[in-house]
Amino acid sequence: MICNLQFAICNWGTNPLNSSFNLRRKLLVACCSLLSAFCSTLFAQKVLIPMDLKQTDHLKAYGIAYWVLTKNIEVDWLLNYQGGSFMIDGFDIVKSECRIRGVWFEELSGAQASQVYAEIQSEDNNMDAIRLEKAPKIAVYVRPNSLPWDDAVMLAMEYAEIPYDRVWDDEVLQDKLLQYDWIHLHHEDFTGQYGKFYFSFSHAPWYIEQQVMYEKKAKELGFRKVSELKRAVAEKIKEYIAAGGFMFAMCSATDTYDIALAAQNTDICDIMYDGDAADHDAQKKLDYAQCLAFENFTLEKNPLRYEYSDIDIPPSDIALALLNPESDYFTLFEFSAKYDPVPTMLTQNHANIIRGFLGQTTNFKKSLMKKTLTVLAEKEGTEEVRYLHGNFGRGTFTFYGGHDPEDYRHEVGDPPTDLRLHKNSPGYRLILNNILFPAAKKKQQKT
Amino acid sequence: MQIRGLVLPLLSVLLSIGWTVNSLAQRGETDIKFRLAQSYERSGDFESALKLYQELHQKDSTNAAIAEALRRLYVQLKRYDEAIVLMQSLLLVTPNDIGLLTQLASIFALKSDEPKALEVWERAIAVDTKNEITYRLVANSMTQSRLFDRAIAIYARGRSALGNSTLFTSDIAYLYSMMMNYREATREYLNLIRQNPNQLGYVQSRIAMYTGREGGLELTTHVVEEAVNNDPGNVQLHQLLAWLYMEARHFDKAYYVYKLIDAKSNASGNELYNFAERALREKAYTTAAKTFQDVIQLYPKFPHRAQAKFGYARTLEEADAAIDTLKLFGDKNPFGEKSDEEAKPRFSNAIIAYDDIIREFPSTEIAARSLLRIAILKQEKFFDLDGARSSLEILQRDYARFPSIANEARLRLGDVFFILGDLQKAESQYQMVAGKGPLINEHQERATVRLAELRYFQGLFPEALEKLKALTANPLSNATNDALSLQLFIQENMKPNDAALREFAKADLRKRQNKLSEALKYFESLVQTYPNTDIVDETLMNIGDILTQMKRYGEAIATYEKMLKDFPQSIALERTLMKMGEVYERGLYDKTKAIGSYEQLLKLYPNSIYVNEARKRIREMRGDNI
Repeated sequence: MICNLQFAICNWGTNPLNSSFNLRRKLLVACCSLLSAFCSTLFAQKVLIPMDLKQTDHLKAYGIAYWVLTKNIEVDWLLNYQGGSFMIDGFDIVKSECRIRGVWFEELSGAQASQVYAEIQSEDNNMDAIRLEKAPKIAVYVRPNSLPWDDAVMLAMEYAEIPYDRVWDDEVLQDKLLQYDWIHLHHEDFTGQYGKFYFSFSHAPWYIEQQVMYEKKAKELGFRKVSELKRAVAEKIKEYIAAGGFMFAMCSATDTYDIALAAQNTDICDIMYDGDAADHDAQKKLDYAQCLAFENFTLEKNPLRYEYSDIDIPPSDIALALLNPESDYFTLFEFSAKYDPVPTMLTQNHANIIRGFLGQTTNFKKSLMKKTLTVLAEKEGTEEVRYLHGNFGRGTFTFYGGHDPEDYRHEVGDPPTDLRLHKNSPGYRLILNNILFPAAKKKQQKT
Repeated sequence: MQIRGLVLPLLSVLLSIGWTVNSLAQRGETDIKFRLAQSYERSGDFESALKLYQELHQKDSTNAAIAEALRRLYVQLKRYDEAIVLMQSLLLVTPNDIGLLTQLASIFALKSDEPKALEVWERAIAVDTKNEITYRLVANSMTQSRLFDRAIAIYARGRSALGNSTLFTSDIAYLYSMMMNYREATREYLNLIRQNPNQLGYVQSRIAMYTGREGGLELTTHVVEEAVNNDPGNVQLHQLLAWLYMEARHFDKAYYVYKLIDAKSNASGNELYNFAERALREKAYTTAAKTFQDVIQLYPKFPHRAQAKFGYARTLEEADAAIDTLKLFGDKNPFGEKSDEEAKPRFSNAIIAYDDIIREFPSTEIAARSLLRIAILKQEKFFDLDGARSSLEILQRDYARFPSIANEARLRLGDVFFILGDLQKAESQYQMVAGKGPLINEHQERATVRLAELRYFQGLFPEALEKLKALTANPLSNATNDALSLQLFIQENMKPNDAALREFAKADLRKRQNKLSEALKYFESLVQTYPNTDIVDETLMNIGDILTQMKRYGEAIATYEKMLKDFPQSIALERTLMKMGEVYERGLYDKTKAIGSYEQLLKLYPNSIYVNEARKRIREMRGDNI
């Protein structure tokens, strides 16, 4: 009983456009629901993959949903129903694959499935069903030869067995991003300051090698400095979003991305990063209008300090002293599934209070966020926003603070997180929500 | 005249004091302004700092500290043209100051005017072409400007100009490795070893930084191989090459290198022995065996000869140890070897090797350990029970002063008697190990389990349970699991009477004694006689297992299927499905049916302890990239 929601990304938002639209939409939904209920599910057996506490492996469940889409079988994402479960036609291969991958599922008769859809469509329930139709083509912006274990998104995709391609500066500058539905930015420092690790790691072989490699690449692509190359890449990604792409970034790839865009007319890198001094008027020359998410932020000018700006809160170098892992939690917002499907999709979870985790960028300061953004999760009663979403052009972007949801303080050289031990991680689920979100059918809304 | 004579000196003294006071006042003012400028600079107010430095420099253009501060500020504020003018004015005074020249060149580089920068660096070199420091200063300046390839070229020029091909080796190697030119980096590091063989450890640590990079190990190995070919007498180069081979797990190649090293360094087998130990640890058995043998044969007076011989024998033995982690069919893996005959020659060699140790080092602990290994091989691999018994009895008689080995021998001897059917003697051996007091060590616990099993095989179930009670009380003991499962089995099948259990125990005894055909008959008869007892499902499973061990896989599958069909509530079904999968996969080589069995297990028993293994096997057979 799918409402077969036809929506346009640009119209997705936290506020309904107007009440008459809502009324018409409700009627449309009701009609579709009845028709679909009768035709499609009454006689068909279904597989329900619950995503509440019953689920044995939440992360692999996303992989199953993705795998099913690759077999040209549609998936209904039942928003807010049993933790955001998936309903799939009851093919044997689906059941078998669930068993092989260790994903819990239930077999429903046509009548039982109809009941589920009826419950979802009821106006009394904050639930909805979103049809997923096509496995999104995924790219990760990551330097060649880097290992997946230092990036939570790549770890999650590897564990969930969701395929992805790696792209790097050449591909981005050659507009190859347009071949992809979704891009994740690995822990990149778009400001060209190599993560501001200079103070602690300037003599470490990996740091030296990275700097040389980046400089080589910049020269090869015709840029004088790495910071200039990274800014050009950031701008290309922005064009990709404007053209309808989905971008997801975590940790320092979030704020450095915006800082790089803002620093178009100035040089914010000190001598150890790009061979010459920073522009001492850099702060004044920032152009916040170029940013996707942040404005009015203040740069951290000390090149030896492990922080980029005041967007990150609490600052990376003192976060550990200020936060107590035992009491560090953030809360997911609840959205109206029927009117705000996008934020609802992005916040599907079996827990709404989630354990915090540190990163080079951990939380975003709310007062420095652009007013058009949607806060998806925050630390209640503070200025700390953990998870945000916004639209740009025809596309969207989502920023998620922190490095690894299951490693409170992940440091350089730490061993990789073994997700077999965190199959039900609510923090990792938020990442995987983002991957499925572009699979939702996109079409102009009938208004 | 007298007054005039006094006035002049007085005047000159006064003038001199005035000049000094004025001069001191001026110097004081300069100091204050300089400090103020520095504090502006520290606080980030570069413009104010610059004004003060400019003012001070105008007043005293010879002051090097002020000039340096002014240069720094110009560069900080990217006012490169003014920095260049400043440096040029300083160079007018000291035109051959290499430090100033390299600073000027760096500023041109910052300005992206590389040709000018190169011109100035050339001027710097021209100042003193025969001085090592000149090249070092220029190359450092180029490195700071991140012109690594040019810095390397300067070092190379320095070498040639000074006629010393070993100069700057470490610097050049480091620069090459930074540029990821591992070939050239390695060549330079090899030069370093040639200059100073004691640098091997340092070079190894530097090279280790890039052997993990893509292509790094292959390239480095190739370069070192070339070097070794050109300089075969250099032991350190061989050592480096052997290390690289081992990093790549090419133990076979490392072996030949170590043979050379041992010979060239007059190590009398020490190098070879250490290499053999490492190869054994890394499970490179063939190489380890070959190397141990070399040590034994080439160095008859090697101080650790006994250990080398034992290492050799262990290597032969372990090379064949196929591990069946699930142990679905007990200790003997029915699919591990195509046939026992194939494995026998290798084990025979191991026995010969152990025998050799005993002959050469009689009455030692290593001889005792060797004798125990012989007994185990005879018992488990050759089923030569008399042979095993004989070895174990010698152990008891001649090696009692090694209590741990002697106790192990007693337990094993008990097992041999048990299999030979002499349960009384078996019990006596177990009893000797178990003792009469509390169970304080693993040998005692294992002996007590064996005693309980004996009671069970004899049909003395209450006595068996009594023995097991002591063991199940200790959750930390390794024997607890065995004890618990036997306890549970007896308790469940004693009701309403123990007639069927008695028959089962008889069959089980034959099975344990490896009398498979007899055991099969007993189990089959039990199914006929007691078709409605709870023990039948366990009986069927045993029949299936025996048929599998007899390699009658088709019949085994049919038995397991009967069990699935007739006893859908049996707790042994998940294990049975796993066994079916394994028989299909490893006995009948039928992947489709094997996957089917494993899938069935996943479907019916999603919480089974076997699900992870079943999933893994399905995915391996499907060829999934996991």
